[in-house]
Amino acid sequence: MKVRRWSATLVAAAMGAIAIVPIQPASAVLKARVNNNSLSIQSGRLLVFATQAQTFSNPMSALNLTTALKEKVDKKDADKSEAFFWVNNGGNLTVSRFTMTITLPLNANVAAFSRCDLNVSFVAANTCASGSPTDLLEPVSGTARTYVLTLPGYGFYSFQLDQNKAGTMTVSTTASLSYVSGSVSNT
Amino acid sequence: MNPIAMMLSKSAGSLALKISFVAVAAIGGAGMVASNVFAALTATASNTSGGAITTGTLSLTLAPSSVSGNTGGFVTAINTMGPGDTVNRYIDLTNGGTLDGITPTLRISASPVTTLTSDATNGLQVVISNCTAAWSSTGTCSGTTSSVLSSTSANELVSAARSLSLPSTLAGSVSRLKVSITLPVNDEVTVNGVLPAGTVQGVSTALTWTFTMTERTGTTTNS
Repeated sequence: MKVRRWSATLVAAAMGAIAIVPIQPASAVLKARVNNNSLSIQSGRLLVFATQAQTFSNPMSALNLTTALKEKVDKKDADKSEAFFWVNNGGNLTVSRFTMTITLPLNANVAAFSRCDLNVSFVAANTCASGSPTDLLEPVSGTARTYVLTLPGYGFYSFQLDQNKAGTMTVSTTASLSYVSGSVSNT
Repeated sequence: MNPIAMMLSKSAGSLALKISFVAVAAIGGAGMVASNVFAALTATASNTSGGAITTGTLSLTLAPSSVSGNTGGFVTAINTMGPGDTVNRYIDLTNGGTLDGITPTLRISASPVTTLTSDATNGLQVVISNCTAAWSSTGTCSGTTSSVLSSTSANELVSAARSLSLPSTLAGSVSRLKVSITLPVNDEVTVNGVLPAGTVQGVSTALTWTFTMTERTGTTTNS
């Protein structure tokens, strides 16, 4: 008998709760919501790298360049090696400077270091496809040196380095977002 | 049984029967009398017109600004964002219902999740301000500006809805919002074309911006 009475009480309580819930104020509050379909946002990239020929295909590694001595016209001429390489930006952000660390063959002495204008390549020693080569501060082997040159997205510089040893030369590059200028746009 | 005993027995049965009959008749009679009394006193009253009840509505709409040059809204994609870049987008948020709203909030969802929204420091930052007049195409306000949302990372907006300080949430009000989306300056270094781990470069996401408003507090009126 007691069990029956408890069951009846519980059923009555449940029914009461169900009857009360719909009139609770919280469930009656209206909410309005609105959203857009979606706003696509894509960030740019800064991909600066050195290559033996001009390309925007990223090797994702430093450039190792084999240098050979030029044939001497006269036996009294000094040993000379002319190396050409390119520094490319395969990304779409513009950077105002980048660093190059050039490691030369052992005991090499640099005779000259030059570049062509932006997006212009050397086509022969001391000859740019257009314009004239610009002399640069000679690199110290194994030491990072900053070149204050604006390199836009999908832009490149072509370099010529004259030194006196055959062997392997390495060109390593770095570029920092610190030298990418921001902008404000209203669109 | 002797004759006297038989007479007594018959007499007793007849009496019980009579009492039962009288009792039934009395109850029936009383019932009839009672029903006649209630039927006679029923009365009704009702209004003859009016009494209509209509409910209010709460409706939010979102539209890009109609000012020429500022119509990108949350529709036109943002590409090639670099560190230090800010893109301002102009949105009209309208409470087009008949009820006033309260506690406006904003939440963002991102798909896919990238460092643009998972990195609270180097990822996207959002600032929202309001102008009492339409924003110009150069982002200036000819009316009065007010802060709706101070600088908040997209990461926070993805994690939870944030309260907005809209100047008005009344029925029919239009908030003219400038939503500034910034990719903060940072010092990531690319080495030989290799981006650093956890970079914010070269990633993309699609953001859904959800504005929510709650109905004003219920009222009790005597009228």
